[in-house]
Amino acid sequence: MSAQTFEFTLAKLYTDADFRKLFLNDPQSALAESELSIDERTALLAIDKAGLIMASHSFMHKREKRKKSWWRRVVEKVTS
Amino acid sequence: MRQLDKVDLVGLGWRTELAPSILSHLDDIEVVEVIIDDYFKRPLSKLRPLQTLTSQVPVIYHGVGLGLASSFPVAQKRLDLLARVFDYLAPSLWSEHLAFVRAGNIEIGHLAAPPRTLATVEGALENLERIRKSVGSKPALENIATLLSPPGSIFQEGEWTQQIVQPAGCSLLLDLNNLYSNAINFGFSPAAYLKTFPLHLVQLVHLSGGKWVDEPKGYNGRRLLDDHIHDVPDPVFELLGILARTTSQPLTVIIERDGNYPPFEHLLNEIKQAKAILREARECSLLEGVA
Repeated sequence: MSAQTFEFTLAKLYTDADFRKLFLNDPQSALAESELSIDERTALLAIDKAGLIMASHSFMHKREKRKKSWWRRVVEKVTS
Repeated sequence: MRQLDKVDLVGLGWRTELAPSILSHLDDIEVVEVIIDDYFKRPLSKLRPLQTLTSQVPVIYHGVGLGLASSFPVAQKRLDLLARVFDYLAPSLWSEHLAFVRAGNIEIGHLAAPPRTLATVEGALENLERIRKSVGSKPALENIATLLSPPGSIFQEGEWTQQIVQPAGCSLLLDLNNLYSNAINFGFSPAAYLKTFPLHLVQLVHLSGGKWVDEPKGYNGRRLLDDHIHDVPDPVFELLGILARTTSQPLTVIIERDGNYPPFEHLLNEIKQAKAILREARECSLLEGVA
């Protein structure tokens, strides 16, 4: 179960801008309520912060692009 | 028609924008890769053009959304969608990424590198069994690019990949630009990094390009982003040559281009370049064998 909690926390860091901001400013507080093992907590505390920010922005860009193409398909369907 | 797995083949990823040009250059394009997720929710009648395409050129289907390299099980609903289209298309070969794309109710929106741990090795192997039971076959597995070294990892990427691909009985889709980007971003020699992967299991190869992006404010470096909208760089072509000289099995190479499309002739030239590299590498191997 802990491995899933770890992946969940990582996914939250990638996608939740408020959680990521809190984590970057005060990682201990951000992870305080997570049910992570000591090793997992240590691993997250040692995360490559520049890489985290860059990856998160890249994922956000991809989500926005997908949303736009979904809207484009809806508009095309309605107007065709 | 050319057959997969008999000889080296080089082709292109199918994109709507490229479709007319691909169809009019099937003498030069030996294989086509189609992203299958685009067809999940379409009526089966809308898949008929893919069957027609398959009668003209070998087609490989490529998945992007299973997120199988995870300790979370792949959703059965997603497997049912895949099984539905594959029942109709009966693909001879398909591929997916060694990535996680969601965790619980969180959709990341793209391919993320999971922690390289025993838990994700076991999770991936269990997911591959689920896939086999639902879909009838396992995919070739693709390495992904990542801008950060996944936290919590206890394995290097090549070793982690081998621990999944080999016991699962899958082949490897080696994306050489992903490999190159990861090697550069994390301080490895690309050629040495290549050799940490189970190269004898490589069946498919992706070639694409990317760009440098600056690290955020407060950091001074830059990293390579694999974006599929730039040309295949020379070092990635060089990795193809090393791979082909190191392996004896036929390779099927796909050039991926997702936007910023150049004149089609330019993509045909990249195909020609890949073919020339494979031919030269195979001739070298033959000569070395004779000597």
